[in-house]
Amino acid sequence: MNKKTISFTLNGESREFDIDPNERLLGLLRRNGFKGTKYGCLEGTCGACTVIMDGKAVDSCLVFAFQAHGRNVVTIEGLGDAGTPHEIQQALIEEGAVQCGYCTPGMVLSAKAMFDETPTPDDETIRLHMDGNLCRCTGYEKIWSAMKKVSAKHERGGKR
Amino acid sequence: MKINDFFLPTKISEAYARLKKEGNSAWLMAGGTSTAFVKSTSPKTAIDLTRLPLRGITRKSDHFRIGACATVCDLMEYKAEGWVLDRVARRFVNQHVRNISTLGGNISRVFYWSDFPVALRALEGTLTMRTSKESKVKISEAFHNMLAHRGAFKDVILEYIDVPRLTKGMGFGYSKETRTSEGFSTATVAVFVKVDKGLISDVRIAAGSVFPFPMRFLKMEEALTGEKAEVGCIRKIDFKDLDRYALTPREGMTLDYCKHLLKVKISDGIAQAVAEATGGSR
Repeated sequence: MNKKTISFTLNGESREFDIDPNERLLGLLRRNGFKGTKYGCLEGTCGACTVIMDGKAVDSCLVFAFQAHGRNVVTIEGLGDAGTPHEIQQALIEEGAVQCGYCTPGMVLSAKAMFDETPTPDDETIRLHMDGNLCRCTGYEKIWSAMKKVSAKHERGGKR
Repeated sequence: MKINDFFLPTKISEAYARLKKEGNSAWLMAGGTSTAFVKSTSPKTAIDLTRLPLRGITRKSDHFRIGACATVCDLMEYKAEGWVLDRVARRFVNQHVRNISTLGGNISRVFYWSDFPVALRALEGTLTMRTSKESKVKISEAFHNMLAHRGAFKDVILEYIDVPRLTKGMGFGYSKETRTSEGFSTATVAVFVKVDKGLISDVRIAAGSVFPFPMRFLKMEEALTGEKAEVGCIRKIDFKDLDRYALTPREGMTLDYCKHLLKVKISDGIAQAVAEATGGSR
């Protein structure tokens, strides 16, 4: 195997990784312990493997690891944790928008990319930004409510 | 397809030099989202073009110049009078794929489901490509040449795509059918119409997904040219003309269903384009 070294910023820290040129970013992250990035469809449909790369939500199953070289990548481990959830995670909890939870890390990251760009998104913006994440449990209603809740909080000038 | 090495150029000259050096083992890549669908047994060296200065969208007097590495999301978010590619971008897969897929990638390796080649055939865009020297090629000629290389450009780097800026009297229609919101297209139609003194003076109708490669319907265009610019002009089209084409129905569709779907999509596209060209809502 033709091993190569790449570097990128991962959750705010500069990191170096040895990669196989054929490896996807999803595989690289998971073998390095970032297992909140989930395996799903592996063809860019379900969004379970969502990460934020240079501010945009992308499917890490479609991105070759080398494409991340020099970029800024955020995984779910870079957001809140059980003790101090991120405001999007908190809203999902409050609205009961998590059942099996498999899609949740991807949902949170897609929402974060959206709110970073548009703090108070309209319905069309929410629909467009979240259309790459599938949830087989909740029927989306409660996820939608959580997004509206975060948006309303921003509208009132709440902390982001 | 297996990638066994990669190169991340920051200058077009570097990318072109590497392309020449690698020859058949070079794999030009912009977003890379379609790589999974390419069947190739020989390992490739990926040349990632996304670090080249080819991303902006610039408004010119009668057209827009789009860098080949502009993402579909860039096209969706760009706002300017006479800009129509946002309508195509909105129907493109999902936000994650729009964030990384590029216009150049979508038209440099045409799959039957590709969206932008259909739109660009209707709009008659122009491509600027780097070969041994810079050359400009009309989209129709470029696609004609691509067919000889199994739907992919060979030994060239696509730099810019110019698309016309729609002005008063021009309209664009776009109609795409998918099984689910994210599914591959089963029929895509794009229509450009120009109206002069209430009559259709120019029309281009293109379709994809139902063909291995986007096609124009020249007889239908002929039938509409000179007709009154109103939705009823659709009645001038003889849809039996579709029998002349070797349609390739997708996802279990029958040939009859495919023809019917195409007829609906063509009618929708013309109605949208005529409405816009005549000042109605689309």
